[in-house]
Amino acid sequence: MSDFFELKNINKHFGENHVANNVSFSVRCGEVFSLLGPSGCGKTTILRMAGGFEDPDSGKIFLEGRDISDLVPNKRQINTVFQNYALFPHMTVWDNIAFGPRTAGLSEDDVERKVSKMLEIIRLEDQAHKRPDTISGGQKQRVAIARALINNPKLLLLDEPLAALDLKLRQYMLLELDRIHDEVGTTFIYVTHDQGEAMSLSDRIAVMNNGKIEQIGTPAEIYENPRTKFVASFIGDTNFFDGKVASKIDAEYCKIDMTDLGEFPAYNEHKLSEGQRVTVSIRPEKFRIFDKKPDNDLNSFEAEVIDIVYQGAQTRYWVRAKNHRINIVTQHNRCYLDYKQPTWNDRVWIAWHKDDVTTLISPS
Amino acid sequence: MKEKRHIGSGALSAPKLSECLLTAPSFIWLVAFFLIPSVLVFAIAFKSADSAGGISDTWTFDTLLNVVRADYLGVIWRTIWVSCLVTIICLLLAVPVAYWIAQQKKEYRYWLLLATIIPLWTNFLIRIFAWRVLLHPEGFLRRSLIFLGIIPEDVFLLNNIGSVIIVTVYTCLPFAILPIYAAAEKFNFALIEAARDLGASRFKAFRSIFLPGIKRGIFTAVLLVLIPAMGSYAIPDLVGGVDGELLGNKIATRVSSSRNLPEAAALAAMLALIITLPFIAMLFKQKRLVKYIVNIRRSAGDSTK
Repeated sequence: MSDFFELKNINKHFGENHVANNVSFSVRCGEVFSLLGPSGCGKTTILRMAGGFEDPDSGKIFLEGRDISDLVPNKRQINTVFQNYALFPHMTVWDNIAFGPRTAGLSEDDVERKVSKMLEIIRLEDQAHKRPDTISGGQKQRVAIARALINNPKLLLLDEPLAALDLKLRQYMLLELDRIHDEVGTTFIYVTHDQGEAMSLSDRIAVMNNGKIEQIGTPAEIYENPRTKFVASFIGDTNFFDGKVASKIDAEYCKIDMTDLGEFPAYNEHKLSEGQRVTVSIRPEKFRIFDKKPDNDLNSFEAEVIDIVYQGAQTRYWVRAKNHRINIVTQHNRCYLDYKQPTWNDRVWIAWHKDDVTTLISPS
Repeated sequence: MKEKRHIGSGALSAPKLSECLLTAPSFIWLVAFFLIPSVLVFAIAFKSADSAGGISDTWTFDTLLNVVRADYLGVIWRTIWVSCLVTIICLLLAVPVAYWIAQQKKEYRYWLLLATIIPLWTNFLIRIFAWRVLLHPEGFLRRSLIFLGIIPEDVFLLNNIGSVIIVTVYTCLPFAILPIYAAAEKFNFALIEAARDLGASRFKAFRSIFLPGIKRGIFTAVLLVLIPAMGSYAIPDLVGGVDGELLGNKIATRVSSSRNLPEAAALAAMLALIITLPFIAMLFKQKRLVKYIVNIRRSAGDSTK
């Protein structure tokens, strides 16, 4: 089956700046696909090329197998929700939403029917006659979505749609977006720098950095199995340890020499051979803290607690072992008030399972 | 405006002393230098001229009737259509130019704006004389156009209504570009992308999104071009010849050579009315139009429930 929407070997320069470096990905019909990356990584440029507002220097764009690279924006069956909404200020909410169908030359009856339906979907029937500057940010956002969806686009592009909203509203709108997506079933490409948004909304995420796609995968794949150091550090917190493969244990596991800390077994995902340099990434919640050396099936080393931050649902510890500062998060699944919690300057044992290690091949 | 309403909300009937004091300077200024002179001009229109070139003591309607009766009507009509045409040409040139300048990089914009303003550094009359040289029957422009076969030998560029229009457009153009540019610079060009995204062609996006977005700039440009063009007198005098005379020239002649101040006043009053009435009507109508549209939308919104 050919892919629904596909970018092939897209390159784009702004002057010296290589904002899209051989970008290729494909989006499946009906999914929410996120482009996630820090600001300036080129994700918005990719979106603008998909929408037809920028031309790639090289590469092709396909929608349902058809090459749309040279089509002007109004000929693509793609609509965009712009970052700052870009609602037409001289028109009412109603007229903003009606702009698409009216431009397409639909009869006023059909326009009326479609707009009413969209207003129902975004639940803003009572704001229809208002001007954009008299409604709230969240309402503007919903109008922008309705305006883009009313043309029944094959693909909806969303450019940082929640960036201008405050935290509470952002969380609410995220649920709204999810609901609207379920209701209309349109394929979404969602650009954001906020990993939380991308994780909670997306079926798949493409993590971008410096104009390149670092990894594409489901939120769980990206979080649990990052392919590069950038992805590991950009998505969630992690601890990095430099090391090298000391020896192979069997076909699946190897021993990694984590500088100063000793040699520990780890899952050998990349089939590394002896002597290869790696970066080991262990997420804070994968560590467990013991007051004495745990059983041998866990990897462990001794450390000193240097900082504790109680966060209600969890506690964050910073411990020092040799030259490493390690970040650990423990969930309070059960809280025994009489249980002796580690405190400052305690000597503790830090343990993790050999399967909870991600090995990243250091660029040589 | 807001401030005023806020202060006034306590005592709706009598404005506060501080408000009166604040308004006084501009009020006195307007009364002394605008209202009284205007009323005087209107009043003199109801007098007749005496033989010494002064104003007689008696009140009469003869001057006004004389103005309406005579060949003035032709001049008035010409003044109106020439000014309207000049305004339209200026808008047609200024809107694309302003649109283009507003889309340039910031550092270029100032140079482009400077280029539109630089001609104003030269004296107005000198610039019109320069046009006389350009448009002269033996001048560079006409000779080259004839040489290129664009115009036949019997077309003259100077001393007709065409030259008045060309030169007036030339002098008024910066005053059309500047306010439209000011509006275009504040215009959010993402709106055009949004319109294009929603299926609008380039032209449709320009017409239904950009033009309404710079409406105020266009309105200001119309005021700044139409009013001076209506009262224009130096340009038709220098490049217009006999056919190019406008109302301004008639007024000037009445004041200077024929020394008939009442008739000049009557013509000036008529010019003032011609300019003022449409604008008052426009402002009035615009307000009502907005209300009307809002009401329609409201009822449409209600009926969908």
